[in-house]
Amino acid sequence: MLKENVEKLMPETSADAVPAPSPRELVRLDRLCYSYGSHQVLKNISASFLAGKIYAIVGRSGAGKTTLLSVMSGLTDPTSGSLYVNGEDIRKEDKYIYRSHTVGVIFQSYNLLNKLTALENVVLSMEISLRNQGTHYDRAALQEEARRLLDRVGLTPDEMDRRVLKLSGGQQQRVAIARALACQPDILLADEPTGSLDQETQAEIMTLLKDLAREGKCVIIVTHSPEVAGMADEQITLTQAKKTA
Amino acid sequence: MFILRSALRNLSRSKGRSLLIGILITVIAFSSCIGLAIRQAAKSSRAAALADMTVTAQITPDRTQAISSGQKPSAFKELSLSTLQKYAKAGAVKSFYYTATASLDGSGGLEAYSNTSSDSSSQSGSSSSSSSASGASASTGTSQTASLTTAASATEKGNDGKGFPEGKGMQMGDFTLVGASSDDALTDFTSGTSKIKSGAMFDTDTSDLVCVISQELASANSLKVGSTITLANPNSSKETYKLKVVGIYQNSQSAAQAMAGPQGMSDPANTIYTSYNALKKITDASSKAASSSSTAISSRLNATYVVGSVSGYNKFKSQVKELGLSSGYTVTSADLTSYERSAASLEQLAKLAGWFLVVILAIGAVILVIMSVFSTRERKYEIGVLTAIGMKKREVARLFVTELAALALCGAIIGGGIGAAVSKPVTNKLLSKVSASQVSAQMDRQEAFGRDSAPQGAPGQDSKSGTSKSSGNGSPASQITSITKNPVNGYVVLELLGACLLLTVCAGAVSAASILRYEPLDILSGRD
Ligand SMILES: Nc1ncnc2c1ncn2[C@@H]1O[C@H](COP(=O)(O)OP(=O)(O)O)[C@@H](O)[C@H]1O
Ligand SMILES: [Mg+2]
Repeated sequence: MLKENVEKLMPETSADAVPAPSPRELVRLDRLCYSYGSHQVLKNISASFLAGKIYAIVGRSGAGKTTLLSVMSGLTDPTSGSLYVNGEDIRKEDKYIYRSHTVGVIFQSYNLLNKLTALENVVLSMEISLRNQGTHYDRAALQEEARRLLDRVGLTPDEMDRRVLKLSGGQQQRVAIARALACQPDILLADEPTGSLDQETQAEIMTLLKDLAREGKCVIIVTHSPEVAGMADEQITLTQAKKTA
Repeated sequence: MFILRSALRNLSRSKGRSLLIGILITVIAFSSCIGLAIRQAAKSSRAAALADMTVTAQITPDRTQAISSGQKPSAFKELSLSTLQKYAKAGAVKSFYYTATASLDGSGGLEAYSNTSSDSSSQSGSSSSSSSASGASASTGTSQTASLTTAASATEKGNDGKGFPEGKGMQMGDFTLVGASSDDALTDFTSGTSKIKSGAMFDTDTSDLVCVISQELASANSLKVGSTITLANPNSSKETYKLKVVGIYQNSQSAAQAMAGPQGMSDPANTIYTSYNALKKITDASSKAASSSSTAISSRLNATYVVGSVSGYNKFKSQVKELGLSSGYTVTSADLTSYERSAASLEQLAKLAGWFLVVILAIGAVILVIMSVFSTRERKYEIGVLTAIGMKKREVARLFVTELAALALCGAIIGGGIGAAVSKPVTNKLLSKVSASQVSAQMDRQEAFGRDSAPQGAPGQDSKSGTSKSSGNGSPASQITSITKNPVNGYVVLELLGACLLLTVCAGAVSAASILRYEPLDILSGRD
């Protein structure tokens, strides 16, 4: 069972994927609105996100990019309108399973647990996901899997066992990506994943995200970097409380 | 398992916080352990003492009741033997015995014994003379030379037979004649205080005028087994009774112990034992011979119900009510009263420990709850992250409570362990403080009363009444001043764990409540 998951998570050779199937719609926004109290931030947003593609959500600071990502990551329900994931209305989903299994989120400020090591952060996320699904697991196997994930995002074994606080910003970002991938999500949400990184690291991260998209995940990136936005398959621009395509 | 492992990992990764809360709980556990141990010590020593004790009960007129109800004290008379015997039928009574005590004068050359070296002018066995003697004997430890004094007539005492509470219609003579209903009634002998040295104890069923006298009295009057002594009505020296000495006893209790009290009483060596029937014969004859009932020899009845245990005592109390004991009389137990007195300092300490415990737990709970509130707030980000990656709030709350419980367990083990190790010496130290303050209070009082404050000096106890088996009668010397066993037992451990659990529940509930309130969106966006 675990083996199968690992394989699904990391189809190391994409050579097998010869016939490109018609892309599946994973997420659909239908006139989605969101307000903080009386302050409406998102208004009538409609969009569709397909598997295997990379999307960039752009817009000025305060346009509501993070808010949209929060709604999509299941931290809060839309005020009105709908969000469909895999054809299901998010309102009807078990939010904990959704958060720990359906979407992987790379938060703007990484949101790692600083007292834990990189490896522990990733393993913890796996354990929470599997516990929510009621699946029994072997910790040793999880650790092995987590090491492979961290290796893939470019962490050395030494860095894996270091407390997150003692890692650089770029390394922390990589750990955050590994953690987001830990639950084998179909959808990867990233809030400014390259915001505070140098040019070179930014490029490396983007390559990684692109690879993940090619493996069939739907990658949605919030960014204000035109460079990053340019690498996306599609751009969605948010203007203050207004919807643009 | 996941929760426990994560909890322990979190504790080890935040050593400062863990240590702070851990030390707080350890201190609470330590203090609680001491408090619980002291209470347990009092409880155990009570249980042990009462288990060893054969509880006896007496029925006496209720003086406070008589006074508060505004009735004349004399309205409540001593109960008659037949009435007392009626109550002996109560189910709780294991055995019943009684003594009658009368006061008589010597006649035909029989002189009362006195160990006073100073010349006691007109007061026989008075408090002043005897207590100074006792002080001397207590301080020097050498026995006093026995000397004979001429006893003054007890009528000088001005006892009108109606006085209350002392007045029992008893004239004061030099000798105390005790009539026992059975061997059990001879409590000085059953307890081993007194021993027959020559001759033998009379058969308590006998109606013959036979008696047992003390060694001191025998040697002072050159009496032997087989001699005859003559006693007279203190009110009428012509009315005499002859008793044959069948045995001579030795009383190991020093005169000082029995005598240094606020009430003067005759030297115990002047106690003469006979059977109840014999004494009854004398009083019956006296009431016939005397001109009026107030000049006849009267006796005071002292009935003892052996009820065995405290529960038997309580049963007896309700049973006599059912048997029709009027509210003017009360059931008391000299053994229990004397035990209560000896356990007073331990009980007092236990009471203080109880309050100490309540205060410690209350303060501990408040501090722990406050710490828990701050710690949970401080960890808001962590809560936000955990719920954002899909951990259920319920599980986060469980995680936090588990951390607290683990700390509480460690605190309970360490604090309780140290507490258990030092509870015995600490209890004894505190106990000696409490007893010392009681002793000094007593000494102050003795001094204020101008009396000798020799520690042996026990407040007057009616040692000849034959009701009190125990010599413990409130003298500081008989106070429980130390415990010999470590009071921490399984029960204390359970109580301690219970107390720590209570604290964990309090602090944990507060922490869990705030966790359930937090929304990850608010926390992660830095707004709350
Ligand atoms: N938790 C919140 N409560 C109230 N208002 C919020 C909250 N989070 C964001 N906002 C407001 O919503 C708007 C959009 O914020 P955000 O989604 O963070 O923008 P962006 O990520 O595009 O910079 C801003 O005006 C911000 O002040
Ligand atoms: Mg933002």
